[in-house]
Amino acid sequence: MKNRLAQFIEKQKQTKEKALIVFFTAGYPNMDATEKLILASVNCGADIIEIGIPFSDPVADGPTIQYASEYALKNGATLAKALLVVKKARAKTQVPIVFMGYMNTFVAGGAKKSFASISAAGVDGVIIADIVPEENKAVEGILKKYNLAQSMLVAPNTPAKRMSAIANKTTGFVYVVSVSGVTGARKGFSIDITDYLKKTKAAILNKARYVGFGVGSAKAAKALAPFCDGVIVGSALINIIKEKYPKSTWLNSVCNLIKNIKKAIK
Amino acid sequence: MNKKEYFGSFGGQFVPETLMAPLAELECALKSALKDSSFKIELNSYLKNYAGRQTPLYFAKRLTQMYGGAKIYIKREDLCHTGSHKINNTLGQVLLAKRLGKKRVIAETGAGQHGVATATAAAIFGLECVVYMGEEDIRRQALNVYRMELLGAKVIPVTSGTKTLKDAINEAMRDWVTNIANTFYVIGSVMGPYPYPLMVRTFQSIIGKETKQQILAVEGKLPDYVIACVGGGSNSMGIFYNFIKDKNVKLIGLEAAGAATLSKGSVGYLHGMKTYVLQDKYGQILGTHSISAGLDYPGVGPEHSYLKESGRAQYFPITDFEALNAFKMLAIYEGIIPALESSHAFAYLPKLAPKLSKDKIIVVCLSGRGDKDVDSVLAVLGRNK
Repeated sequence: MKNRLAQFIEKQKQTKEKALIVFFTAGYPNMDATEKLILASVNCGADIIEIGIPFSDPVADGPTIQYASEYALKNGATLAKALLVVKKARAKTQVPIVFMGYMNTFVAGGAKKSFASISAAGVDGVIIADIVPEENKAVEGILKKYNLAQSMLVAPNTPAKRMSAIANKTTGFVYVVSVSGVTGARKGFSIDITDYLKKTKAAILNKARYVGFGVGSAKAAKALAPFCDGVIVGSALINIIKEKYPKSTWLNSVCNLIKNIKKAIK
Repeated sequence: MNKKEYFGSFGGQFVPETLMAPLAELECALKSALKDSSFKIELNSYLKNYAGRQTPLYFAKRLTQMYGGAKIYIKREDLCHTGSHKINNTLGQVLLAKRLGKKRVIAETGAGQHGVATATAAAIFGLECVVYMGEEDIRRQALNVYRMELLGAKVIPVTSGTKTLKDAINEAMRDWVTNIANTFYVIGSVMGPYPYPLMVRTFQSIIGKETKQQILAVEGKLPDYVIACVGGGSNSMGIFYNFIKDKNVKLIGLEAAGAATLSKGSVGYLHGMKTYVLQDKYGQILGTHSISAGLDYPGVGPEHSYLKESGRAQYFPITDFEALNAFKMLAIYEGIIPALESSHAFAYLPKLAPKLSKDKIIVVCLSGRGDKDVDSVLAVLGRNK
């Protein structure tokens, strides 16, 4: 049976609409807020929810997500608590949900047990930031067994042939890393980003390509959208939460950016 | 698993995709350099005429008499230029950086010895040098911070996480991901993604190679024990490597008790490698606590994990108290002030040497000198001992 993410990607092939993927760190600022963010995001037009599982040593992340991860961990965030949030949200939404994190937190206590519980909670896929195809044997069999789609990453310095190979390994979407660098909202992209995105289009066939890292505004999303199948927004949303929470308007402020980006990529 | 990236089941390349291209480039450069006699000649010339190799293997007569058992020899890496074995590796890596045409080198440092050695090698070749160092380590190793700055390096304080070595590595990796086009990451230990553990061991294995020749020349036989401290594990891997095939030579690594990755940890993934790490049940990496900044690391080079698992080497924890005692002993009995890191290796001598007969031989790797630690030791012990 196809999971929700696979179904969404299949449907997107017909509609050709650009997807909006939003990222939140589990437990930032707390687990209740994460649940609210999931539900609100769906109402405001997000197509896929990506939940970051905080890790003590997030080498692929910039200052914003590092901060959110450290904050969440200090508040006692765990994978199990994030799964409870998903279980609760599943009573109200069938939006595709993927977990993003690092190898060590995913496989702690045993990879099988861990991915089985992730799947059972209603998560549709995973993104493991420090797994490349060469090391994927460590997880791919288990992910398949538990019907979890794996989205793998390509970067600006990935050769075209390797991009195709990564796409072949991918069972979810291809996460197109927009920049050489870490996650985090940026003022702008280098001028050759469209060339790079065209290169990914030529190399990656039959897989959805969603662009992330540094997509910080509706303007940036609008500029990228024609060259990909969707955009991923994370740090920009977390920055809003950091600024506004717990003011009464915090959730609305997050929603407004989601709405604006969704409008911009139509 | 027999893949080249692995030592037994440890090692690998658990990194973001952006690092795969520079790792492939590095592997290629390393292979061609090691086959290139001009590279070897240049490196050996710097090791000899600049760093001061070979380092002596010194018979510690008074220490031997005091413990009353096995003969104790000390491999004097503290006599290397910059004061530790770290220069063996940074000269090799910076020469590779030059070969790759990189204009900027970055490094992480805990105690500051690797940072100083990187800044030194960068100065020789006129490369820009940036060193990441945890805020906590900057405080307790202030002398080395100033040394790096004198050598023209920029020291960037790391305030994330535990503010020590592991966080400095995270920050260096982030810098590398961001600046891959012009930057070479000089990793200071036998850790990180392949080919780093192999490369650093290759550059450090000169320690064991010399030791073997020296002990054979003096004693006409191999030692019974080779012992060294282990943080990331570069001096120990360097002295162990050429003895691995000599099954009668026992290899013993000493860890800080507050950062005893191999003695108390479990298998996990950190800094691009599968290896033993200190972690909680959720897979979060734990903070470590040692008087010695250079051993304050919750991971360890994957080849050590392999040596532990295969039983070829043994690893034991040493407390701060034991290390401080050893620090004093070496000063009083042999006139050598050792680094606190190296003191952990010497702290095993009272547990081992007296039990062995006088015809047995122990070689201890003295990885660095202790000038940098005098302030820390004074703060703990005070003037009246």
